[in-house]
Amino acid sequence: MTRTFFKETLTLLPDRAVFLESSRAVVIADLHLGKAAGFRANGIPIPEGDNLRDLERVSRLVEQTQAQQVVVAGDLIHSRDGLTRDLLLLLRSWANSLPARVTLVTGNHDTSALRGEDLGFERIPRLKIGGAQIVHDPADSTSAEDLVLCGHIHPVIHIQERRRRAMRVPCFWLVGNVLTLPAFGTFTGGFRVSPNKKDRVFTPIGQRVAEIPAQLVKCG
Amino acid sequence: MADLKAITPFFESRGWKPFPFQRECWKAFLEGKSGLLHAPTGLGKTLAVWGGPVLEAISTGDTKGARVLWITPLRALAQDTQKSLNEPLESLGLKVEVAMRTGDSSAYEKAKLNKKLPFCLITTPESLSLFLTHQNFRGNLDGLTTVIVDEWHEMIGSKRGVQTELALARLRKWFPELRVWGLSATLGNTEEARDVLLGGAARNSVIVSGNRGKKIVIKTIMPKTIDRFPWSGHIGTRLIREVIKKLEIEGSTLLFTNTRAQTEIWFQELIRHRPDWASEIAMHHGSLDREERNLVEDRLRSGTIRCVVCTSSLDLGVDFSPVEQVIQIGSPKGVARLMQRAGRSGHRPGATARLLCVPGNALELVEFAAARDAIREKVIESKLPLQKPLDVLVQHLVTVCIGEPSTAEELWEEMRSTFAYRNLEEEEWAWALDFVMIGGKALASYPAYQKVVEVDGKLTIEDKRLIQMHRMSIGTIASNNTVTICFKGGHKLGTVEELFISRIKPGGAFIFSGRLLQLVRLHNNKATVQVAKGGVKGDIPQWAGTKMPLSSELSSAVANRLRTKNLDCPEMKMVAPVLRVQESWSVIPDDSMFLLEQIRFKKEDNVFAYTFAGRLVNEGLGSLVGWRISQMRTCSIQVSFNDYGFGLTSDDDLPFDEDEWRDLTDAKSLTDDLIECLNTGELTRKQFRDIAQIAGLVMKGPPQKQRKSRELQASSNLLFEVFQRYDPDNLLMVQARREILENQLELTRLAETLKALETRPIVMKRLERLTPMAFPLWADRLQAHYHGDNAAARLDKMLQSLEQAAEGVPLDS
Repeated sequence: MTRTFFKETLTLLPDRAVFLESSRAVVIADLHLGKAAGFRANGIPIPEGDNLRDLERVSRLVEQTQAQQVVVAGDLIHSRDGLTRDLLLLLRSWANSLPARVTLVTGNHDTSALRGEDLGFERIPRLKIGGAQIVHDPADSTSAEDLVLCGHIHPVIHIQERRRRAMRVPCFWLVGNVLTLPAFGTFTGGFRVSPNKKDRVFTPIGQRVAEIPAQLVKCG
Repeated sequence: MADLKAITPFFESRGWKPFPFQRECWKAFLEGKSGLLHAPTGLGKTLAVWGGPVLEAISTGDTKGARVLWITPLRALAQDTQKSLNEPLESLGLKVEVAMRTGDSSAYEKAKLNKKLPFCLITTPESLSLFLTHQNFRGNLDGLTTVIVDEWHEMIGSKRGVQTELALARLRKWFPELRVWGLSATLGNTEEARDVLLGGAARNSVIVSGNRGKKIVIKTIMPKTIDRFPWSGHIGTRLIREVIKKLEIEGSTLLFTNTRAQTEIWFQELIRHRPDWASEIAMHHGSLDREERNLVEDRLRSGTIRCVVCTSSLDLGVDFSPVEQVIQIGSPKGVARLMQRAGRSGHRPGATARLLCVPGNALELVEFAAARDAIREKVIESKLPLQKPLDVLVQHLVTVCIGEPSTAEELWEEMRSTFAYRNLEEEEWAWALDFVMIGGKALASYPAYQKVVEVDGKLTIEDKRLIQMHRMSIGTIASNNTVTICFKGGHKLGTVEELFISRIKPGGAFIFSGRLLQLVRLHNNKATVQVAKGGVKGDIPQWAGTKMPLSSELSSAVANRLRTKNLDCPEMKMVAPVLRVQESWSVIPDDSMFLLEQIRFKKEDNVFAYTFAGRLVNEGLGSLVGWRISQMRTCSIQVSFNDYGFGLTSDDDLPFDEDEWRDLTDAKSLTDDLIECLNTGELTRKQFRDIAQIAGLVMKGPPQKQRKSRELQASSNLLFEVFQRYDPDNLLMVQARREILENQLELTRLAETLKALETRPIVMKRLERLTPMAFPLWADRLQAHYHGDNAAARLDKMLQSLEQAAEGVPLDS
């Protein structure tokens, strides 16, 4: 289902991504690839597996949407320790084989993790695409009228269901003209947000993304 | 052998005489034996085990260097222990030093003790493990003859106990002649407690009993009428006037509650009713700052306080002789605990221990009557030791590899010499080695992992940073995220859980340490507060922690009371009308039948089942039955539980047929079904949190602002998901499932319960109204957890019902 926010027509994808219709671009944020490897390099044994799986999820989204471009709104890589040789090779070959152009809008984790490394694709601090602006940190948005897509926060909400213990789910969080995406990476935590009345939140439910009415969101 | 008389000058200076059990301990010690001394709290236990090393020092005159390690589970006890160990030294003219090393010690003291050890060092299991990471520790300990483990009954069933067992194994390896003595309250399994402490060295050891037949009298403060008395719910303060009357005595009273929140509530209420007592009543619980607690303990010792409202934080050690009476709010849930608390009073020779019970609901009246029966029959609970927890093993492996590199074979022998790991399998050992060396099998292909390495055939750790990280995370007490509460000036009040304080906005009020406080700001794990001005209402923090289950011993005594309907005591007379209601609306359940009650109420179907198996078993059993039902028919079921039974609630019809219930409570494939239903539950995930911390997967230690430490943060929740997906057979995951089964759900007791239920006739009652027994279960479904559906399905259902309510207007715009 397509939605229009601030003159930009887009689809919220249940696999925690946004598809921009006019520019035919898939936008994702906060993959934190190599996080497990970074832990291991510091003596904390965490199994690997997410990097490849997460990149395959992106490929699938490109295939489904026939997108021409993939924009990562920051924090593609978790840490310098985690950017292993294997991960670099994996990333390059993935980007090469993808039938879409990859652009990385640099996030705070990327800055230190990627210093001096060449990923083989574009890296910029912010991107203007169609009528939308893409940044990593919502604080970096420079537009008040156009739609801004960003990440960084890893938003989750608690949903209150009658008497039950609240349910914790990742969400898309629209505040004014700024839409914060849920973290895309599998090995990422979430930060609980308490949306204001004017905000809108959307959450993946099975194969669709539904708007969660304010009365269901538990504020804390 | 040293002359036992050498210690008499000290006894004479006090006008005392050694008790026979003390002489027995000294003699056994001087004969080179290890042992376990069990006795109620009271004078004399400390001297019984300290006398041996003192006598030996007097007789040999050899007092240079380290001789005794005194291990205490509570940092708070260290200071008191130091004082009481020093007492005889002065009058005997023995010039030896007793020092302590705990997490509270200053950096200077710690550094000093890392260089040189005193005659006797008082320390905690955690600090002892920390010592083991220092390469000069073995040399500094040269001459060690004795380890004394205090409050062993508190540690034996916990991972700290296992940590202590492992440390003792290392010390025994270094000093084969080492004598180890444990101090314990009387347990149902004293011999096993001794064997666990001494591991492979249990031969040639003794068990000494210090019971002196102190009389215990238990009375209950009666509510005026039972009508106004709640059947369930949280414990109110309805009996406060009666309690206040009891406090109008000479001497101090200890008022035990079961939770920290109740302590705050009772403290508030007492002060509200008797503002003139504001300076004579204090509180004591584990979240209060050490300084605050010390002040209270000092006033108890000097007898200058009327009443201390406390939790189990005052169950342990420290002898407060001037305590005149003990009041217990709510059921203590166990016979041993009640005896221990009663023993806090009446310390004068020949005095009687008196305990006043304050019931929180009708059934607790029965529990008090039953506890008295159990004490008379001397039915006391056992504390079961833990079996080979692998998280503790891998932590300890790293600890000892840092301190003194050893070969894998040496380590295997050492670990297997403990009780906990005596049955460690070779595969489990191989897994543990893999875990610390290559990060586990699943990680074998990732060479970047580094921790324990092999150098010249010996296992060691070379990376200084990893050593530092390990030292910070030593310990087996998983820490919740807590926030320190302090005044603007920096005066610390204590700690509360982050979850609680983060819900309070700056300017908001809450009650803590008996004060109404206003939050000024929350920053970096520190909440700055000020005293709130009048007219503000505040919440009382809820601390995490599971409620104790009613012990099997006490619950069978309760069932006995209900079955015999014996009205020979005031408690039973009082509760009789409630029982009559239960009887006329249904029947009074006990452990000779399996009562099932069913009622359709507020559009929901409810079934209540009474097992008398304690809340943990009922939680497991309820989950199991709920899951089995949801396997047969798709419906969503909530499970609630208490000590007496469990309740199921569903929007759909629940099975209520004898044959069906026989199948639902069949013991066949119990473990498999439990594991299966746990995988869909939250329990394993919760348990994994502690394991992940102990095994070093989650970094503990002071919050650091460096990017490095932030990059290494991951919630155990997330780790659980990653392991479940990519390394589900990791033995830590297996352990989490096992621990849930054994510790959280008491699998053994659960299996026994199912077996017992098979033999009990099923009694089925369709109710018109909620019975006194059913009501608490029905009310508790608020905190129930769920079976049979997943989050997406739940969410979908909610949205659908909202959409219907909005008359078909789709919300999904």
